Amino acid sequence: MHDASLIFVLDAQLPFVRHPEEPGRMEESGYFTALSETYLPLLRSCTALETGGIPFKLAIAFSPLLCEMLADPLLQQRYVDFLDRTIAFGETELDRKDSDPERRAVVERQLKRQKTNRHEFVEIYEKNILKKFDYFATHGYMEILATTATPCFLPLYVDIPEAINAQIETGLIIYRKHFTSVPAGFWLPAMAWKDGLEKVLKSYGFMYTLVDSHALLFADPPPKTGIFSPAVCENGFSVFARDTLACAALAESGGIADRDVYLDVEHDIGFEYDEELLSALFSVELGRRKTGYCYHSRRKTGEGEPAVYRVDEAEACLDDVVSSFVHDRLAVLKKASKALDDAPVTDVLALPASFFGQEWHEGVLWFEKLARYVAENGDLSLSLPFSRLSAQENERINTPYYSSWLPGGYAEEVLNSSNDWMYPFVRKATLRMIDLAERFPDDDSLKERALNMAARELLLSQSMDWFLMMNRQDQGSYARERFEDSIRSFTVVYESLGSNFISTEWLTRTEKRDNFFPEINYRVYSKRK
Amino acid sequence: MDSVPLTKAYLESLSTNDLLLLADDYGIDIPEGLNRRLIIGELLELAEENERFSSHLPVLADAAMPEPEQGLPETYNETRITAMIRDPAWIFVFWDFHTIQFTNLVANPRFESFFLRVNTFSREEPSKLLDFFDIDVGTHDRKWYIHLADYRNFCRIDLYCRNTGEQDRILAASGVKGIKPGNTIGCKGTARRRNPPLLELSGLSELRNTHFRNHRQSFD
Repeated sequence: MHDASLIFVLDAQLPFVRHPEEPGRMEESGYFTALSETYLPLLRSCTALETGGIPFKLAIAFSPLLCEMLADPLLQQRYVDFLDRTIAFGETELDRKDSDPERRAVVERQLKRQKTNRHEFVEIYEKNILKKFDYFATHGYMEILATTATPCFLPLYVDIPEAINAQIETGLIIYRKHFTSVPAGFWLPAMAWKDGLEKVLKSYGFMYTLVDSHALLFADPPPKTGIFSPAVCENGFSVFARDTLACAALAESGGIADRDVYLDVEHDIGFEYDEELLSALFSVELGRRKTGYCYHSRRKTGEGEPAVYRVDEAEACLDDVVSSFVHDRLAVLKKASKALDDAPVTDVLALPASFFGQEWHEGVLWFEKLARYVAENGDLSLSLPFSRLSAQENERINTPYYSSWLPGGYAEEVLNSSNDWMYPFVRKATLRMIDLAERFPDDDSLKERALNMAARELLLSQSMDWFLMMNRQDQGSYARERFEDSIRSFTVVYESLGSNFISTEWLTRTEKRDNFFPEINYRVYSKRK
Repeated sequence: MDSVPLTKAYLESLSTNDLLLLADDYGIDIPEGLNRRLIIGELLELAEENERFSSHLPVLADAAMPEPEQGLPETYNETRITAMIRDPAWIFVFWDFHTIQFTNLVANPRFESFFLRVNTFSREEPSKLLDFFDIDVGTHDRKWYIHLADYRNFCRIDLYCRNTGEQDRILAASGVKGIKPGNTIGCKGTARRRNPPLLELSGLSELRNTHFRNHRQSFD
């Protein structure tokens, strides 16, 4: 075997949780936790790898909505305030743990991490981490994929091509605003595929996308090379399949990320301390949440109590699981390469970015260790998807099978009895937007502002975040609130254009609240002539 | 108000009764006995005026307005049915009625029920009807999940009204929906199929087992 590669792809996606009028909301804290636990540690690890001369490779798809939040001055400042509160709380927590040296050591480590986050966020990245990701992309370490403006489950809109075009075109506008590279790959939200998307994506100049393994394995006929090489659709558009089994070996119960020496991130003091103590961090009335201070591993002591976290044990475990993971992947790839007469082979691991850090505290360090291990042991390399397009023999298929990476494999999670009530509204608004774009092709000034506002709210209402959150008891009311707000705002514009009157006060207020995609052009909803 | 553009082709596709309802919606007083050609003419004239009015106003004027109402509309006041594929075996449909049309239909003493007709085709493109079956729905129902007996086919769902002693009347039709057939044979049952080595290594057996557990109704 002479050419075996692992491709890591992260889906960097979070719900739009900017609430200028309501600081301290629980959903906003979730966004800050993502910065503290996933994105800043990831940049730290990547910087360490670069400094150490390790040729790491990582593909990442930033949702344009997340880009807009990361670049938003209000959220940037609120994150700094959040870190300041977290650090001040950590200092008092050190005092409280004075008589408990084991836990005190854990607090010290976590406090140091928060201070590092603050220093890097403010001093090094000047509050905008996207620039550093762009740096890694321009220096060949990362490949940043384009994606839809909001995480829209595209197969449910394929019968409205203008909706798909608007999502892609607006996504591209926002991509160009934040990144300097030209994207060759397109990330499908939830890896959701329906035949016909290959034509649309190719028409925008994309060369490839990624789908879940059953999209290729259930294709008729399936590619003989399985998932170890990108398949090519009839129109020449390439499709990588993620290795579902390898991802499960990493993320599922009993997998590599499920060891009892790891930090138990669910055992956070935000769910345990009394209201008064936590008031320095947040108002418990607005909902308990993670604070970043967790002191226990997932192991129980002999008395059945949670054991105090030991970072040395966790790191030693990481060394073991890195070598066993690489060994397992290598064994599979060797067999695949042999069956292909020593042809180059690729294994794609695509996961939500939140898995690294937020769900699996040690996950980012695991990736760093893996990159070092792979660099030291020459049998396997890390690659970027684009580089593998021409390196491998690609087999032709008709089209991948209808699929997604959601647990059911299709659309059950975004179309069921808890969220199906949303579709009549979002689809009607979509059809109305297309109609508006046709009726007002050349309007400017106030009409254009109103139409852009409508397009923005429509894109937000199509975000699958709201549909998925409706499945959860604790998130459903927030999702409903956001979704209904967007549909109502859209309807206000629609009706105003019918009556030729609009309140500029309302429009300005809504623009300030939902300030994402200021470059949007509602004409992306126009029909192709 | 329905936002479908009032084009000649669209208006000509409507039944005379629908034209009368539409005219009523737009506040056009249609004298009894006016033929469809003239009704269409009236509607087109109105559409032309509306178009001039809405598209050529120089600016959208600023005006105070009340806060948007909470909640979302119960109806968009149009008779339409939409189908969406949930997975290879299940299709979700939702529909709505033009309010006046709905009221007239259910007020008819001969009214029996509404029903969905699930028409099956072998291809997505227009092709010969293979078969169909009907599902009775209540007057308050606005959505349904439909199980497809054969996941390899395509279907179109029609919304019908049934009146005693009259021919069933189609009110709206969805687009043709379905999933292009795939290599899912063998998901059902325990019989082991020998897979090509690279497909086996890709996890096809595990995938089939998972799909048998989760979607046993869906596959052969």
